[in-house]
Amino acid sequence: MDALRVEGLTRRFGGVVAVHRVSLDVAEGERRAIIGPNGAGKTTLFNLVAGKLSPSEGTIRYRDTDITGFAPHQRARLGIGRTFQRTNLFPSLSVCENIRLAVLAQTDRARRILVPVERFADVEDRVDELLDDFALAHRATTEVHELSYGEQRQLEIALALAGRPSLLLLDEPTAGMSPAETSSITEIIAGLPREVTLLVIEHDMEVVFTLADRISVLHHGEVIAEGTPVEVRDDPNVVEVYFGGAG
Amino acid sequence: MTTSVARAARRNRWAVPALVLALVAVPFVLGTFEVSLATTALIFAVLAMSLDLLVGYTGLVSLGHAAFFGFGGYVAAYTAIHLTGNLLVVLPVVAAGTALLAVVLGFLALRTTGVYFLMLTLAFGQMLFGLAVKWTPVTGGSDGLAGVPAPFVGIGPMSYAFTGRVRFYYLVVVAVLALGWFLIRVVGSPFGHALVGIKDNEERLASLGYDTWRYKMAAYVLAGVVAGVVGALFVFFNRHAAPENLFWVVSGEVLLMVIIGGAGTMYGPALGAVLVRLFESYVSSYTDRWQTLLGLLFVAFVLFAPGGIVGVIRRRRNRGRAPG
Ligand SMILES: Nc1ncnc2c1ncn2[C@@H]1O[C@H](COP(=O)(O)OP(=O)(O)OP(=O)(O)O)[C@@H](O)[C@H]1O
Ligand SMILES: [Mg+2]
Repeated sequence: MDALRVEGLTRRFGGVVAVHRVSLDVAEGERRAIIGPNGAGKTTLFNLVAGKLSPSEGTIRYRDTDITGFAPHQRARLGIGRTFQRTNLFPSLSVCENIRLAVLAQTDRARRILVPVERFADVEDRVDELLDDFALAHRATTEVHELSYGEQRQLEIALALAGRPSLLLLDEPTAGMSPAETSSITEIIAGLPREVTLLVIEHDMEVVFTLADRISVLHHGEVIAEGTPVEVRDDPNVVEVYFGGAG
Repeated sequence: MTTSVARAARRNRWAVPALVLALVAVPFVLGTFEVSLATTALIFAVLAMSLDLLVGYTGLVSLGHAAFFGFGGYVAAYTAIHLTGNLLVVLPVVAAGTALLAVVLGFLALRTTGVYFLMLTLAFGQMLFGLAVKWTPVTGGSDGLAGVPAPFVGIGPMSYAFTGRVRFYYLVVVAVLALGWFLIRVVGSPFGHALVGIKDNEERLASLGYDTWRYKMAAYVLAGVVAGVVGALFVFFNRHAAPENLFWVVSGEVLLMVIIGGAGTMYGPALGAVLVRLFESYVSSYTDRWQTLLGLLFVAFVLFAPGGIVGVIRRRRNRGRAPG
């Protein structure tokens, strides 16, 4: 069974066709990188899969469910987690409150109205675990706007992982990070359980080659190549549009 | 947020007992005028706290909170006049009635945000005001509903009536402490944090799996019900339900209390409400330009202390703690 099956997906913005008849099959547990030049439609594709945008045409199936008409929160409840290309956090809450909000989302405790928010031991354990994994423990009570850019990016990913999604969409997880931060984030992503299906948009080819089982190349909204990292690297078409003939 | 609340609670271990003691002492040390003033100030304190659940926590700036305050009052008056003044009957009826109103209004208003939400809530409030003035057989028209009996609490043959200013004052103190406690628990709960998440970044909260529309609706209904209940108390205090309680000026005044006190905290708006009521009561006896003065005070806060009184206190405390 495929974790994600996208068929004939098209999204227009006025006259611009950002995503054009894209079809993708991503197997359960597969790690797929989406690469392509700026403006290729990568983020738009994620927004369609996560439900932020609705497609002009086409369908999206998650496991055996047609989720094309589902709202973003319904997709999240089904196990689709995502990060945003532009950091997208809760600026008036502290780091640990941000993470707690994300952990609570996937439990029925989120709606409790008279219990103190930090009352659930299993939730607190998960919060601590994520703080440790992302080396944010010493920043737990810091407000988010005081974090460095790299720390904000780490938190961005921690929020997406909090609910243990089974399909994870990462939009340029290492963009703007220092080399040290990049390798630690890459290690965390590589260390995710193998059952987690991963879609990652990434410009850093080293990260792509470390993580990806397969690569899809997007150009002008269309998939122009798909295959293993080696196949894609040696595809003359891809070399032309993406590596600019430099490869 | 909760951690800082917990820290503040430890630091101010005596704050709650001292507050309760002070409230209990009011009728012993002050005159009837001050007891009446304290009664309305406490009612408006909870009204402001309930509005802040929307404004300061959820990020929904409503200019129509008087709709619930006034509507709750009319429901209470109507029930007390035609059925019974027993609070064990009246208050549940008021709560159910305002909840229903909030669901209907929220269903329409919560489709919008920002200035559109503000305009829509304002319009709903004014529609109810118009209805109250026009629908004379039920609402008493522009005279409102007079002759509201004194409320009482009765179970079987036992009953206790809140006749007289002092008894009524203590009823309000109990109600205010209970509702204040309730609202403070709400904002410290997972639900309360989700509301802050909506204010900060609704899109991200939804992508984590929160059905944000339901949370906003729940907040709107909660705020409406609390406003309706204190609206009922206000009508019992005056023994009269007046259309003015629905008027947009009341909504504006409560919003002012929230912003002067400090939106996004619970004690700030309560403080703001008490100060605005005191200001109105004392300054209006010296000059009839008090509304202008209140307006100027508001402008001064928005310009120089956007965090309200609470913001000023916090900044002072932080400066005191900073090294050097
Ligand atoms: N909300 C929108 N409204 C109008 N046009 C949009 C919108 N979002 C994306 N586009 C357009 O769609 C095209 C694809 O954009 P998209 O953000 O998906 O590219 P991308 O592959 O993620 O690029 P990058 O590598 O720069 O992040 C671009 O031409 C962009 O201008
Ligand atoms: Mg992008």
